[in-house]
Amino acid sequence: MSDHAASGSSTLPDERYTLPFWEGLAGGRLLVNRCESGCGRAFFPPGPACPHCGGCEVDWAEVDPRGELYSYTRQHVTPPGFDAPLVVGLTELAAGPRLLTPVAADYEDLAVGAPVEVAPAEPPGDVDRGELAEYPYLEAVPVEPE
Amino acid sequence: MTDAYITGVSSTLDREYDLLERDLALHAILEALEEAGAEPTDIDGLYLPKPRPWAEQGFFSTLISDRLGMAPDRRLEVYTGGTSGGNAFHAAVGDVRAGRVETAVVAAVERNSTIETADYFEYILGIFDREFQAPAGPSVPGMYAQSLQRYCHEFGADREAVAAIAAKNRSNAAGNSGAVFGDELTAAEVLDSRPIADPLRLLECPTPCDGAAAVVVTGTPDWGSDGQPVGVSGVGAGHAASHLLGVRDGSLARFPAVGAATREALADAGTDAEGVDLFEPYAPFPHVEAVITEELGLYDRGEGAAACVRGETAVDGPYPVSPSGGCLGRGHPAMVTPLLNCAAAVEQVRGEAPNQVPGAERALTTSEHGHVDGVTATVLEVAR
Repeated sequence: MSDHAASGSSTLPDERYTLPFWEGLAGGRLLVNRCESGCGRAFFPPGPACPHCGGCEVDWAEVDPRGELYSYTRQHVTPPGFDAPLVVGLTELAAGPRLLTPVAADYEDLAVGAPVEVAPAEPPGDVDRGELAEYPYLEAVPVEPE
Repeated sequence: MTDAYITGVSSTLDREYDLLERDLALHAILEALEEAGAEPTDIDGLYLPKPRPWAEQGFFSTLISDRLGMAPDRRLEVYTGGTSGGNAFHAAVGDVRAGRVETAVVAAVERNSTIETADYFEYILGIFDREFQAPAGPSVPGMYAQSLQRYCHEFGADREAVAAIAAKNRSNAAGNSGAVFGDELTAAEVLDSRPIADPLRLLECPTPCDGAAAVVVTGTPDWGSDGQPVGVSGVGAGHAASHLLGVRDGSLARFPAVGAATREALADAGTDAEGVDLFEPYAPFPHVEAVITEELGLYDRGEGAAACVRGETAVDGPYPVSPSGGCLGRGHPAMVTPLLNCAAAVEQVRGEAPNQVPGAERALTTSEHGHVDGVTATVLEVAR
């Protein structure tokens, strides 16, 4: 589906392998990798081999950014550059993969299984993202149940 | 194959030492060698966790060899986070078993007192996936807090029962003069301490401390030496396809690497979990200890915590876990903890441990790194 054919080639990539993810996110689309070797499963973070079946035919696929809050915490001690408290959680997308992100909600308002959506956002703290600094990061946002 | 034996152990642990890593390590090595009745020049293998990035001295094993006038042809500094000490120990056992090395020293040292909290958190941020995880600002307690959430949510584990594990281990440490954080505590007191990463509380998180340990492993024990030889009967390792967030298809509150490593170690020793008299696991947070007992097959999912409340993992219970106090009570300099677990197990099998498990003949220890992504397991037993 993408210009960036993800794998199946033994040549060294000429750019960061994961760049299509960040380009997609900047355009408001959530892209993950999908196995084209047979198992067909979506996976994250992006990589040149399917972590489910080991197949090396992989492509990019846009997925629904909605999912369930798989787990979450409120950190009272945070890395330098991050204000405490910091709510962080794992979103399990309907397509399967889990993403670790900040959660834009009060800890008391959250519950395991709550419907959330992964959206582009500024990182919650001051962290050096190198060449990715120009791209948005991610956060999980509570949404109304479908 | 040559059988491997531990003939000398040494461990030293406190909130803070002013001594250099070098001096702590030299002391531990010499003390372990003395117990083994060996000289530095007897050592032909030296195996260490690579000291933490904030330790000043580089080329640490070379420096140690020079200071002790020993010329170990085989040496290794390994860094795999919390399993570093376990992997160093297993490399030594492997070389002794294969006959490549006759007498090995495994040594570890760590000073957490020399690093500022902010710098430590910055270091920890670097173990997370720099691109996808670190910008969220995660911490190690933050990840374990999330597996604790799942442990209670999925398996119906009682939150207070999980806290009881921390209370048990701090109380065990109160009976261990070598432990740093011993205090008779109740689960309610644990849950009253301040939150670090909800729902984890301060008394459920390991406190930074300093320490060093050394273990002498040999294929040719001197049966008349001060230290009664203890057999290394089983080693095993496991690693899940995961990086701090759990396996993709599995529960975050399951640690399959524990099952893989312990099954291999127990099979190597020709026994099973029921044949183990006590456990000294690497469990930096209380639910980790519970899940380890479940991965070992001793309890059903979510039942490991309740078993602690029933006293079954106490020193006088059927499955004693962390009689030394473990990471939470004894103290947890991560590079050293695998050898501290080993030393505690050796003392138990020799019948010389604080909180001695009566009649203990076989012990199992573990180490882990990340979010229990990787695990080593070791079975130690009375040598006959």
